[in-house]
Amino acid sequence: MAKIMMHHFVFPINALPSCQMVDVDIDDILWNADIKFKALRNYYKRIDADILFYFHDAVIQAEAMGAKAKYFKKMMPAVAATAQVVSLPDPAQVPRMAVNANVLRRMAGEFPDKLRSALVYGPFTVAGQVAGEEALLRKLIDDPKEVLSLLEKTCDFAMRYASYLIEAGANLVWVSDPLSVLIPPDQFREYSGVYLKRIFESFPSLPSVLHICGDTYQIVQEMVRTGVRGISFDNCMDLLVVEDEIPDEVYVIGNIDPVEVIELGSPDEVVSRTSDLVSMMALKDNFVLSTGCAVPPSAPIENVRLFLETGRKSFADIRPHIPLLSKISRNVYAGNGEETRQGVAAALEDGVDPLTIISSGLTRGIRKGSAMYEAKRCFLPSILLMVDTFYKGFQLLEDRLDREKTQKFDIVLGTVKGDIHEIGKNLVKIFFETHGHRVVDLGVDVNADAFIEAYLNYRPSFIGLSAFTTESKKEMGKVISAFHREGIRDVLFIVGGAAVNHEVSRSVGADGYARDAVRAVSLVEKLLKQSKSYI
Amino acid sequence: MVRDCATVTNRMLKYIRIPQNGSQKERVSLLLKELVSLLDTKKWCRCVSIDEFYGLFHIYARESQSITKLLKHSVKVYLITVTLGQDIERRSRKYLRNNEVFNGYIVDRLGSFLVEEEIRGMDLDITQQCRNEGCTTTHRYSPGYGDFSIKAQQAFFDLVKDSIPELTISHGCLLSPEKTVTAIKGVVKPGY
Repeated sequence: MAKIMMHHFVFPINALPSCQMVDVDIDDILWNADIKFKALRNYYKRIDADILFYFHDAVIQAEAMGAKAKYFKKMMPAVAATAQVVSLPDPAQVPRMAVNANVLRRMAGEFPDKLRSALVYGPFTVAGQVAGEEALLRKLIDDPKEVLSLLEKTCDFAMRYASYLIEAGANLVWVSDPLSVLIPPDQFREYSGVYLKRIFESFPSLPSVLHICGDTYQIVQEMVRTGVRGISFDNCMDLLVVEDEIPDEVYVIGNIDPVEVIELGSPDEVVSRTSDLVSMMALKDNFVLSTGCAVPPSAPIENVRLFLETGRKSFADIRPHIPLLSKISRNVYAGNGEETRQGVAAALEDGVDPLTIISSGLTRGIRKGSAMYEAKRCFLPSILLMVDTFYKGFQLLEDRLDREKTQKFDIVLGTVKGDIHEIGKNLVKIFFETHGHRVVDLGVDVNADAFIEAYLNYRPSFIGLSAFTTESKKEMGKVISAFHREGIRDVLFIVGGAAVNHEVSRSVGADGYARDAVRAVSLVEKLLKQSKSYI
Repeated sequence: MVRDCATVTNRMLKYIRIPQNGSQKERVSLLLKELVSLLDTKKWCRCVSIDEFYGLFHIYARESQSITKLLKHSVKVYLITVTLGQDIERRSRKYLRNNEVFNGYIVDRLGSFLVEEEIRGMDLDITQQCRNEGCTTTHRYSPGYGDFSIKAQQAFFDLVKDSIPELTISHGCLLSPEKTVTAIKGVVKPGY
């Protein structure tokens, strides 16, 4: 049932930018159903999301249970003091909960065909707000019975509040449980998982989603065991690493950065990051495009709209080719050369654009391998087999590509003067090429003048310096200083090699250090994003 | 030379990070056989007095606290050089040029492993020989480790070039063929 209901949906988490649709402060929106509904109706008329939220805040349950909340004009409320006495009121008697039910009732009338979330906070998170987060974590060791007793109450209240919202008009159960990420993985099930499971089991006929902020690699399996129908991942997570751990009947939801991309990114950035994520993940039938957390109140609504529009278009572009592209990606990842060639040939015959074959087929396999390597789940030789396989498929496409369109940016590479080691540098070159970048390889024993000459010829975004020996690492600093003496500061330097580490990188004035070829690619992509955000 | 491929295979697989039970193991075994046929191993070893060592390696050794400490009680020093020849790096580059990245990388790593194996073997032989003579030895130390300058390879090169004529040295004092290792090993007089 859930599978049919959310297939390739697109939506941003929460509706906080809707506050821009009304000329009042955030604290007024939270207490007034008319204003809140007006803000939400106007917002969702403008952005057409597949799942709707009711402008929820993180403190409502804790406040109702006795914690003291502080309200702000331009920010969401926060817990100001823990509860002296924990109470379990009827949600209908809690004024702000009644506001939310009122709003959901009207949203059901205005948007009858949409999924409308009954968003509640998870028992562990609310327990942390009620008792104090640090105190709660200490009690996990000192007094676990007291923690379990409190969790019974917060779980019970979360279920009551969710029921109240569902009766009012919500038709999806969404649990956000940010504090649960702090529980040691081996204790997650006892202090969070069982309560989350109880909530989801209470609403068996409704789709459900669990969102836990932060790095949840260690608890993915436990999140699945809660019986939830969809898992929403933070933007710090690489979905390619976790996708195989999620059963087909559970949605993988995520995970565009709501701050860096939606709030602070340019429209071009929103388009490129969204289409890139869809090109990687749409091959999974259970993928749902969303943000990695709530979009901030001040995020440009135009960026939110662009995110949804780009997401839907990217899904539509790739959807007809998913079976062929999935096969190619799987074969690259498995290192099956001949099957990859056959897959690429079949995709070409089927009229799939060569660029799509590269990005969603061949490169996806490599990126998954690289992500697994960075997550310490495979070794370098396995990725090199994938690279071999990539090239076998790529041979069929090479002549059909417009190189200007396919290559993202230039990088100049070389092993510095006095050093003739090249295998590491060559691997870096190969990995950049498989990710679609143009590489100018200056070879080994390269002096500063040659790097400057190459810079003037190719105007690269990056210069990569490799050094294997302790002597040659000093040469890296000389190269960077030579650029600065010439007044050249619009190129970023990355360094690597056996003689280099973060400390050496800092001491020679480089912009970044990568331990190996796989990490070199993610490093430059990260630096590129950072440099764009400064522009 | 590598006498028994099977004996070193398991250690080698660990060195190059190939799972013992994985499908890549067979491919690596084939590459190892290919590599063994390319080996052109040459070894050079000389034992010099401590004074002669400091004469030959003068500034590099005297400026190095590591060497001073290492050889504090040594009366003699063994100078060791091993090279596997140029065919390994040629084969690795050929694979990489042909976009056979796995093979190119593995051949290079195997070369590093094998040259380490060779010098390790020489090290063990020297240790045993000294032990038979009632002496102990220091551990092995190579130019480029710690504060022992890579430039010390120039001194090695000057000593070895007539015995291994294909050896060349760059202005940065790196030896070619790449799969060449130089090292020193001190012999400590009895009582220390």
